[in-house]
Amino acid sequence: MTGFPEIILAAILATDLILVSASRLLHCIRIVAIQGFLLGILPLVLWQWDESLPHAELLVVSAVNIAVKCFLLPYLLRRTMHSANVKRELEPLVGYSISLLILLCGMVCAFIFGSNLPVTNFSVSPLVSPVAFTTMGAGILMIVGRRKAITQVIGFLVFENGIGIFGAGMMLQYGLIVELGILLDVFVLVFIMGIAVFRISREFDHIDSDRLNRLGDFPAEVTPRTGDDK
Amino acid sequence: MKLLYAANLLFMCGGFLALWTRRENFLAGLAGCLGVLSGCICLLVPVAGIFFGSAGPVSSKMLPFSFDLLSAIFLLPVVMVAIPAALFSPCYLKGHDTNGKGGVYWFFFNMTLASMTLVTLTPNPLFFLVAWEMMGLMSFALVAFEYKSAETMRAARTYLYACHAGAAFLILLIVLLDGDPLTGIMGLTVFFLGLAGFGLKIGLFPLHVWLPEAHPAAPAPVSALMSGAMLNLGFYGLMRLVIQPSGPLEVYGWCFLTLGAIGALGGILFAAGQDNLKRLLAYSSIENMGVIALGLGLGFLGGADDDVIIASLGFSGAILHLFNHAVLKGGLFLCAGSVYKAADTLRMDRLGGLLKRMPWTGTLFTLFSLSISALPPFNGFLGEFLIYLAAFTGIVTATGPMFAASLFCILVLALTGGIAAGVFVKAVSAVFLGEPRSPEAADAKSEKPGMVIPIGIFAILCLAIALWSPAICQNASPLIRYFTDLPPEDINSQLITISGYLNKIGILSCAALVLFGLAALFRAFLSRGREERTEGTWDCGYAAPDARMEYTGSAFVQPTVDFFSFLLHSVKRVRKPEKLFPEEASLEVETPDGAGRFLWDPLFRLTGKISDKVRILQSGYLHLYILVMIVALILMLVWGFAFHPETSVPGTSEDNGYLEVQTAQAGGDRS
Amino acid sequence: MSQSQSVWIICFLLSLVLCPLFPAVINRTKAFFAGRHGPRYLQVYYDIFKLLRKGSVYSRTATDVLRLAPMAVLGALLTAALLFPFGMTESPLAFCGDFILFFYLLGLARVMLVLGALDTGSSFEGMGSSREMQFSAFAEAVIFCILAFLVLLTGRLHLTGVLNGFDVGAWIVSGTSMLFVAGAFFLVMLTEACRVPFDDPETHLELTMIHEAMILDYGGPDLGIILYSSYLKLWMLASFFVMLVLPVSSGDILSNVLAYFSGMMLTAVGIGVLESIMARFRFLKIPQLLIGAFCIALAGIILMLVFDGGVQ
Repeated sequence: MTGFPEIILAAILATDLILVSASRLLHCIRIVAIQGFLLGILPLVLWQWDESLPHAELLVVSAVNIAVKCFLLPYLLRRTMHSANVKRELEPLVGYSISLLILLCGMVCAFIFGSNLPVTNFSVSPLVSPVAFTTMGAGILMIVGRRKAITQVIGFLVFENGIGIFGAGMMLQYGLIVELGILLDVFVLVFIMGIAVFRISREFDHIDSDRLNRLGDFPAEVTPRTGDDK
Repeated sequence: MKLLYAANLLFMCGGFLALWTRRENFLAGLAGCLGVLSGCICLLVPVAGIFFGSAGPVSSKMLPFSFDLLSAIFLLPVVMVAIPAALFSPCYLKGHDTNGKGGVYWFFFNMTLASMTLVTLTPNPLFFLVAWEMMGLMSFALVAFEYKSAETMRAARTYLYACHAGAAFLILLIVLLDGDPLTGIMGLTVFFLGLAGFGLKIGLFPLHVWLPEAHPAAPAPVSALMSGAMLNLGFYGLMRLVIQPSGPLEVYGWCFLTLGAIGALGGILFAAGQDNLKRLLAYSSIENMGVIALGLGLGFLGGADDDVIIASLGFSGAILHLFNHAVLKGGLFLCAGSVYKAADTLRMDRLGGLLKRMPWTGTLFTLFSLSISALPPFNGFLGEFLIYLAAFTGIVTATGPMFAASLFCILVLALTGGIAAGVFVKAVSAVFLGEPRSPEAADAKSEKPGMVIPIGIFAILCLAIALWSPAICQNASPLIRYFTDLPPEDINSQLITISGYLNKIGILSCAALVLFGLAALFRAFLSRGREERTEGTWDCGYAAPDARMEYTGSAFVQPTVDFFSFLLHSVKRVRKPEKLFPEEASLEVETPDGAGRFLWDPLFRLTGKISDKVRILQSGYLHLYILVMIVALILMLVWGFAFHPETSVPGTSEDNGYLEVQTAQAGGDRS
Repeated sequence: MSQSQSVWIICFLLSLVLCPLFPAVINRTKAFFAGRHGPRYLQVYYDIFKLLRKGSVYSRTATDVLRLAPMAVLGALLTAALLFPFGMTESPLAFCGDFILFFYLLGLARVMLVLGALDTGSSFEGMGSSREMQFSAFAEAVIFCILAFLVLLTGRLHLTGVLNGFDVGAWIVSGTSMLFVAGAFFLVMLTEACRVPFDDPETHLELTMIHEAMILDYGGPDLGIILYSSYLKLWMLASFFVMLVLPVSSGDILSNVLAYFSGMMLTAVGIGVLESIMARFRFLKIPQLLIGAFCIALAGIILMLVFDGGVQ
């Protein structure tokens, strides 16, 4: 199990683990960029695996993926970060060590689960499903477990990366269209979220999404926090 | 058919025109009024054709509209009430229609009429529902005319919720109806759903709680329209959509009978306890709807028993009472509107002596009250007479449950009739007779001809109904034929007999009037040359009678209300006089609605408590929501895996291959 | 016009003329019990004529309702009398369901009287009216229960048929039910006609009056008309009672008429006796008494159903 795809997938797994435990936003963005790069390379592996797929398609998919996920989206995120003046994620809802543990459990489940799926025959390597599920889990963990809106956007990016792993790692008929669709989805979302985060921070002086519940009709009690910071 | 379309179009045009010109009140009023009048006249032609002539039912080929006798029966009260109500509105609204409110009022008035017409025109359940909802919405806007007042808005909201609750039942009903007659459990479910949905509109107990709130809050012509025309459409809906001729007629009959009895008795008892004139009239509407339901119940039971006489008497009595009630209640509400305009209050304990200032309104109100208490020689007596006769015939010919139903019906009608007479005497005496009980009543303005003439139109309509009652009853024949399996010749001969009875009553009523006239002549003859003068009321020689010593309306009904306190649970707030020379004391009696207080309020409070507990889920935390979604997804995946283990078997790449494997191993292990 | 109907006209006119005699007999009976001689039999007529000759005084508060009420009452009662089978004969105007019209005409008379009373704005009239309306509501229920019984007994649907439709056999077969119903109607009759124990026609305390309180502000011809109307109503109710109790021997009109008039006299004496030996009940007891009458009537119906069946 030490072919080219496996190395890439293992690297993606490592990025998941780092992301879940990182607190500095700049670090998170860089790791997401690396993950995007790895994800972009994955279709090229398919080239090696099956000669019947059109090469041009794979090249286009790879190039677009890398361009967007490795350069464009992290750039947008950095810009949002600066304009909202956020540096760190302090005090997430789910602590860093606990997130790591949860992710490890998730990984185990993903491995058990992923190997039982009937699509294993189509995938480049038996690691594709577990890694994809783990990445999705990492993304969800970030969305659910973090306060700052930017981190939640990053989490969503990671989630979409997980879906992308499925697409990139399988011998699917219309993989190009699926990939481009996912890409468009992510791009639009990050773009909109950038604007939204900027506006939220301008309006409320913070981008803590958990404090936004006070806007509702029946806000739950606000938990007191120490070290309130942007 | 074209006239019906034209009528609808005229209503809508009038409405929109009124809305457009709402800045100028006069133009808006003119547009709205003309819209209503022209539309109603257009409607009268086909309706009268079917009713009095021999026109047959018409239906449109392309659109889902059709017009037959049933529609005509329920559309005629709409027209009869709408015309005087529309003529009454301009005078009533003067002073209240600032800011373009008049134009908006006319818009919604016209649209309500248009939707009522549409309701009677579409037999298709889906379009019916659309028209029904539209009717509810438009009338809600009318009820909320005085939207600045919190009381009015509360009442209007109650009305809206009631409309929507009814519509919810109706949606369920329409989903279940799919064209074929349903029997058994499904048929019963459909019937009860329809009873709930339409009963909300009719005001059957215990779904009547919106009626006493909405009618006082609405302007008088709107109350007249709603009470006289809209409540009936509930019965129309029941007859058109819910009641199947092949269904269990006994169940229908008994349901109508029980609900009618409870509504009649409960309605009139609560009416006795009310201080607000319009609330009293609203409860009286509930009572009259109960009486109509009683008549229908007897009709259905007669049909189930194959008894032609009871069936024809019951149905014709119900229809006649429907017409009478529409016209009488319309007139009564318009009179109440006049009173409100004159004295600025509807609290009967503060009114009094208005007959001197408003002779026409007062006289007409008295006549309408006598009529609605079912006293001969007025028209209100006729419908109840036929229902009574149906019950008495049941006593003669029927056995078993039908006999019990008839006896029950007789007793309920007798008791409610007695109490109703008392209630309306209270209304008349508290408002019009005696001395004014408060400065507002003492300073009441006199009546305006613009408001008296529409009420007079109602009086003329009452007379017309009384004179044409045999013809109205004849129209029950197709209905009876449709709902029961009785032979048509028998039905027609019975209806002819009924017409004979009504004619006899008419003759005797004329005799009564003649005798009254003779007595008056005799009296006038006696007073020739004799002294006649006026003094203060003797009152057994009281030296200084005061208006506050008069019996108030609440005092008048106090024995009855106290006797029935186990049903009414009136709330009394007493501040007793203290000391030897008492300075101040007060007594306040209020009768809030029984169903509201003991059934719905606790139910809603309980629902509120449960909802509060469940509200924890709605914390507003985005994270919690996403987590809940993810958990649900994971659970679904786990469930999928746990209970469908076939999908987890590896090695089968295509579905076909899997199936082939299955069939090849038919005798062997099955996995 | 059958023979019975022609005799009806005679009985009708006789009743109109003789009805003031009824309270006269009652008064003489009461006087006899009290050891007095009592007023002349014709005193009632003299009183009415005296009243008719007087002028009238009206309250300033009152409107035309007060002035018109007495005539309306008389008109309603006369119309009701047109339907009534006086002397156990047949009324020519009878039709199916006319008893409903009859009792509702009596109701109209009562409502007009009450409206006239309330028009004066006096508290005593209000008191009397409110009691009257309360008791009449219950009395109506009892009356219709009794009517249901009669309809069940005779199978006929008009006043003439219902009151003349049974013979001695009915008493023999369903005597208990008849007794119950007769007792119930007797109580209702006393209520509606405002006699003891429901209302004392001779009281002079306004707080204890029902019917008398309502006519406090009437004088002169109006009072005369109202008094006559109340005598007519009493006569009709007593006739109902008499015909309820007496079976009809069919075919023999003369004996029926004679039996009828003697029954009326006996009833008047009976009411007089009752008025002499009883006092008026407390007002709070009267609804209970009426409900008791209702229960008795209902029991009569149930007994009839269970044991006897209808006699047709």
